[in-house]
Amino acid sequence: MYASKLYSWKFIVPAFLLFFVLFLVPNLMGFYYSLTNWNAMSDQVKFIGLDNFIEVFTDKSNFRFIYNTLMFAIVTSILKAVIGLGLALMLNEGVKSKNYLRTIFFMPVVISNLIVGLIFQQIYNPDTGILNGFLEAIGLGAFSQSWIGDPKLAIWSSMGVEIWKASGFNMVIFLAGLQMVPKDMYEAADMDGANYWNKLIKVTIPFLIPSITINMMLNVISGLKVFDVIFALTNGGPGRASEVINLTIFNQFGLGTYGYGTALGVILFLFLAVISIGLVKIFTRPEVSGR
Amino acid sequence: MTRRTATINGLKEISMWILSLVILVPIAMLLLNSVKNVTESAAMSLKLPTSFHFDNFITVFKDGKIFSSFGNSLLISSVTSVITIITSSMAAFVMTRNRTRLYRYVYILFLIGLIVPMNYITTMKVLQMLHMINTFTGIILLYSATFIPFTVFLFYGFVGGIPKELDESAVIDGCGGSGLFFRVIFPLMKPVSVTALIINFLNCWNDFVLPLYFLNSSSKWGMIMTMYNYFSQYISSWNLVSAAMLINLVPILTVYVLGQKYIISGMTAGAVKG
Repeated sequence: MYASKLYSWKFIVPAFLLFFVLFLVPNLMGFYYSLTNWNAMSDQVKFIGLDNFIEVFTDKSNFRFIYNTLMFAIVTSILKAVIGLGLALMLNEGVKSKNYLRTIFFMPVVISNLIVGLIFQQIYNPDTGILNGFLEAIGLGAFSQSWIGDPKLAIWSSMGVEIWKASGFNMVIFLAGLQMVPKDMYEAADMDGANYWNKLIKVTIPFLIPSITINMMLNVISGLKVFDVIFALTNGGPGRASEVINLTIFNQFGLGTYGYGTALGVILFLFLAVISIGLVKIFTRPEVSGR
Repeated sequence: MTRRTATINGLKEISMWILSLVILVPIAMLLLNSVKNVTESAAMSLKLPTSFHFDNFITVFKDGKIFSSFGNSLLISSVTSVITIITSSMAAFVMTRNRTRLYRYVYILFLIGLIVPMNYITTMKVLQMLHMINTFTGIILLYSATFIPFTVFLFYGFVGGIPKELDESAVIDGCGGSGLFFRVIFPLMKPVSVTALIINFLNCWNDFVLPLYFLNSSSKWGMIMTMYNYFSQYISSWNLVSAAMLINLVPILTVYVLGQKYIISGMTAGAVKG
């Protein structure tokens, strides 16, 4: 009685109501509408079963964006974590100007994706962009590319932008994790004559498992949901070569094929649910969690 | 040995500064091109401008709807942040204090909101049903709904650390439920509130996906959308586009440099707590 009066359930209502009406309800509605032919042309919404899903997975031109989304999520997740770890290890201690450097490396995280994408459009420009200019200047002109004009390369160039933008985020998570490693572990390892690599593999990494988990989870989630960077950089082009699922959804929204677009939303939802549950299970096995 | 460590640290320092150019050069490119003339900025290079055209900024200020869109961004971002912080902290407080199974499930529901994507198309339908499509109210409440899961998560970890004995003594002093929260607990959560404020504010300021879907009238756009519109309009005048981008970036980077400590503590909250 005392607690229920003091910690009233009413306190939860505003947050839950907002979240429920504007986030959960649309997601639940998505499950229903993905089974219909809902579109902008007709007023009637007809139940059509799994037709939308069958269309998604049988239309061969769709394989490209499914492949792109998955590759984008996998490659950027790994590289952002590896680069972030490298930066964190370098800037953990010893370097005098480490605070300035950390500020610089984290900075892209707070810049709007739209601005980043548009700037990289210029950087990747085959004739005037500074990337090809740099390659020529150091004598690697042979490697100059039409970074976002080449259909095979465009999605990889988009990954580059994402890695540029978000490695600093992984860095700060790893830096926080590195503060949890007890100093005496290193002293003990030194006593045993361990070198840098031994200490990294045997001491540092095991303590960083929670940070690796959270980074990989957040990286995979944001990788699968990617939209703005690609929208601003290539808008899915050339053609549909660098399209990802959220961009397809946006295009379907523009075309008015809502039922089909909603089905794609549901697929993304299921992907994310399965992958994040899987990742949590893998990384929180009791013997490696360190907790 | 110490001399060797000093050398290694020196080398580390130099190599990291060289590496930082990867981040700094694109920014420098933007700065340089914002003061060039049209022909020079056509090729976004790192060449120094032959003459400085600070008038680019004046042109942008005069002709883009910078001021009104700045006001819109400020309105949307600040109201969203305030709503999010108040509602989330209240919810987190009650959920940490009442450890029943029901509250646990509600918390998990919020956490799911951190992971699963928003369904844009059906969200449009809901907004239409509520007559909130294309309105400030609609976009603000929508942003709040998307930021609530993260903010609840942030507060949840923090409130747990405030001792329950404090509640009891507040009750003895005559506080009721809301008095306890708003006069005793909420002021104690200042650090995490500042963190939530800055992160939500920045996310809101930088976002352009929700306006792309849900705000059609350009008079309600924030700075990012206006800048994007400006870009499509002046696609061949990169000097003006660069200037517009910088006008966008300055407030963000100022907030970042001043509030860095809070941003990073918020973003690492998840990692530290596992």
